[in-house]
Amino acid sequence: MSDIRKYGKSILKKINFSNVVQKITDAGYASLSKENLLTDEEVHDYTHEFVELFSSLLEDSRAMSGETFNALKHLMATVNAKIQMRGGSTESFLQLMHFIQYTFMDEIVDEENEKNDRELLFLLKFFNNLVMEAFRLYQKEREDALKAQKEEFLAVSTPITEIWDGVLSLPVIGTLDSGRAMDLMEKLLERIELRRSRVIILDLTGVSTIDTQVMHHLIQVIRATALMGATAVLTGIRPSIARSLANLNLNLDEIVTKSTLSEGLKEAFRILGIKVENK
Amino acid sequence: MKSNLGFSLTKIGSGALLLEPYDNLNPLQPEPMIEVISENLLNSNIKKLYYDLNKVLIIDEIYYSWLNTLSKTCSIFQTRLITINMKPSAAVSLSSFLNTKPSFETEIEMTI
Repeated sequence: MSDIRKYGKSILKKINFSNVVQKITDAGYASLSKENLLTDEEVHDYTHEFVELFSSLLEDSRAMSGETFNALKHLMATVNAKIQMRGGSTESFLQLMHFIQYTFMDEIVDEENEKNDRELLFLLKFFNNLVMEAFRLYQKEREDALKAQKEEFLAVSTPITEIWDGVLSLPVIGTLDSGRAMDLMEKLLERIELRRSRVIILDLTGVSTIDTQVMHHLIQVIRATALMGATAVLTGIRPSIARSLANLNLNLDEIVTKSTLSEGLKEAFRILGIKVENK
Repeated sequence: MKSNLGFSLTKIGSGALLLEPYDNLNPLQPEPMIEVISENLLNSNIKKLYYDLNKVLIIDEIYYSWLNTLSKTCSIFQTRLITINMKPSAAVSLSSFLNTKPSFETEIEMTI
């Protein structure tokens, strides 16, 4: 956007900023406030902030690559996020951006001056770029939030607990996909190494379905556990999962299965040579 | 006992040996290593050979083949080969191509 050096100051001279602020806020109140996508205060504050930042950019071309353009980008990403969060659509945001763009363009229209076309073109390019950047930022923030949510969900849905000295319990809840199975394996093996655990109870009571590929990953978890010197006990197997297991062309002798978590714990005691008696 | 073949052998109690591999152990040339280990197992009362995998980060097919060769040698002398301290990364790499139980035993740590 090197054009800003050429046209920034001349555009600045032609714009009546209080007129622009008035037009944008009026339009904002009539559409965004009315549809409860932004409050009146937000329309007022965001409009003033936008106009202030935009005029700084026109004043100083160096601001284009610095903090001012970043602030403008963040401001519009925030506006977009608020609109979407309150039930608005991408179209509502784009309509707002087009309105702001045309308001500025109206201010500088002069049909007899050829240079004016270039200034209009500059504004067009500038707003297109701003919309794109604001969307990119909004998208990134959304993706980061989704990633954080997913990680949080994974941590909660695969809680590895030491239920007895040397016995780890891992109740798996929800749908198990390949990515989650690999994540589960990594966390489990690290925990075995850390706690020197000898028995792992993998409880599948909370798992509804497992496809063949995931079943292979699960078998790999059991094998890797055994290779580290621990025994994996599979509990809570539903009929559908038992069917998937039986359909696999694998030797299932190495898999220890028990019906329930408590039976799994009894098996763990047996492996460890622990005897639990009633007092 | 330290060998220049990339491992050391330490007697643990009366019936066990501990093998600790170094970085320069070459699994592509098992013969000289097998020879040295066999000498130690021959006419001894060694029942268990512990193989410490603490520093082995990846077990690929070549390394696995070396462990299998060693396991077979041990069985000739009625000695059990037991790997200990396998790292998670090694367990994942080995389990990715393994279809049956390995011919050697695996334990978390040494139990005498």
